Amino acid sequence: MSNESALARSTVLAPLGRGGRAEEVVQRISESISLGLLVDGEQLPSETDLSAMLGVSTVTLREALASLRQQGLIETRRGRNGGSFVRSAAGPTKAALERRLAAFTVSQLRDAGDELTAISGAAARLASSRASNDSIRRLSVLAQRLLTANGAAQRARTDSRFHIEVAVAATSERLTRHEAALQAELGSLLWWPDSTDLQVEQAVAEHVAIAQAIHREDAALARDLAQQHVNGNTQRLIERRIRLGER
Amino acid sequence: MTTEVRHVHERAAGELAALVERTFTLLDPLADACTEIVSQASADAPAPSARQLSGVDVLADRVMEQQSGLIGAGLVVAPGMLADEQRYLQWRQRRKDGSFAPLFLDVDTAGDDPYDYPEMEWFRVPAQQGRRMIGGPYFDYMGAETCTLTYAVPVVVGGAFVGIAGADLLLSWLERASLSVMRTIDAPAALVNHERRVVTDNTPVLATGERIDVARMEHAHRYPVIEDLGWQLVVLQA
Repeated sequence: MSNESALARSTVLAPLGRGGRAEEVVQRISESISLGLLVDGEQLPSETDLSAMLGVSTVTLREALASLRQQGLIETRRGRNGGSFVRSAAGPTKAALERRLAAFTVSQLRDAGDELTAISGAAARLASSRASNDSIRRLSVLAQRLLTANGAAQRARTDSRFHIEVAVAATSERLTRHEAALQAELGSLLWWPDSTDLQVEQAVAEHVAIAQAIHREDAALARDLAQQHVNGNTQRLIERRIRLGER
Repeated sequence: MTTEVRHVHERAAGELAALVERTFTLLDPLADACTEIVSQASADAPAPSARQLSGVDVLADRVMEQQSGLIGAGLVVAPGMLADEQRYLQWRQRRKDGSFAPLFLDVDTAGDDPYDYPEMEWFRVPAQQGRRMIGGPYFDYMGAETCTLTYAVPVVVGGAFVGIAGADLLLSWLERASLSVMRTIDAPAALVNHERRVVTDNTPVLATGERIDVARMEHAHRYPVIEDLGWQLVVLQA
C-alpha cells in the first residue's frame, strides 16, 4: 500500500463518534468507495481490526458489512485467505488500469507471461488425469460464466476464477497458489472498460476448449490450448503496453 | 498370486479401512447434537435459527482434538432449513497456531463466486442419497485452502434431510498415517476412491488425485476398503 492510500485509509477508518451505529459505518464506507478513497479490489482490515479502528462493536460492524454486501459494495471471500474486498460498481477506470500496466516494461510482461504459460500449461496437463467429476462440472460452468459477467472488474475476476479452477482440478496446492498469485497480478489487467463482446466470446470459446480437453483426458491438447490461450492474452497486454508509450 | 501375498493385501485393506473409518466415528456426537437441536426447535418454532446451532462449536473442537489431521469440523445445513439463513455453515477450523476458530464462508448466492456447497459432492450425495460420503481428495479452494478429504454424514430428522455433520481431514495426514501399511505391499498399490482417483499410494508412478483408468483397474488386484463408499485398495501388476 502506498503512503497516500495508507493516509486515505486512516481517515476513512478513523473512529466514529461514541455509540457508532451500523448505518454510520455503512455511510462512511460507501462514501469512501464513491469518492475513490477505497478502490475496487482493496481488502478491508479484518473484522476485529476494523471494529477497533471504527470504535464499534463487532456485532455492529457485522451488521454494517452485511448491508454493504447486500448493496454490492463489498464482497466477502471467506476461507483462510479470505476477507472483505471493496467492489466498486464502476470497476477500475481506464486511467487506473493504464497506470498499473505502465508499471511493467514489455520484457517484464513477457517474462510474467512465460511464467503464467508454464504454470497454466502444467495445471491443464495434470488436470486432465486428475480432475474429479465435481471439478469437471465446475470447470464447464466457469468456462461460460464470462458471458454473463458485467464490466471490466467482474470479467477479470470471472476469467481468473476459471484458470484457478484448472489448477484446483489438478489437485495441486502449489500450482493453485501460484496460479492465484499470477492471476491477481496479470488477470486483473486483461479486461478493460473498452473490451468488446467479441473478445469475451473468443475467451469463452478458448476456456470451453480447455475444459473439454481436460474432460476428454487429452493431456497434451489441454496443455497446448492453455498455453496458447495465455500467449494470446500476453500478446494483447504487450500490444496495449506498447501503445501507452514511454511512461 | 500366493495365498500369503493375498493375506498381506487383505490385511492392508483392513488396516486402511480402520484408519479411514475412525474419523467417521468421531462425527457421531456432532450429528446427534444437530438432531437434538432440530427436533427441539420443531416443538415450539417451525425452524431453528443459525444462532441455535452455535452450541455445537465446542463439540466440533472436540472432534478436531481427537485427531491431529483434522483441520475443520462442524455442521453444514440444508438450504432453507433455518429460519434466518438460506444457506449456512456452523464450522470450526484449526488455525496454524493450533487454536480453533470459526470459519465463515461466503455462501451468499448473490455474489459472483459463492462457496457453492450444495453442488459439492460431500454435500450433494448425503443430501440426495441419504448416505455418508467422503469428498475428495481435492484442493478446497476458499474453504480449507489445502488438499483435503471432507467427511460427511447426513443428519435426518423426521425423515427430512437437514444437513451434514462433517470434518476436513488433511490429505497429508492420511498419507503419513497410511504409509507403514502401504509399504507392506510389495507391488505398486493405491487406495482409490469411488472415481478411481488415488487417495494415497506406495509408488512414484502414481499421484494423488490421479485417475486409474478402467483397463488398468481390470488387470489389478482389487480389495474393498469401504464398500458403501466404493473405496478400494488396488494392487497393480509390478
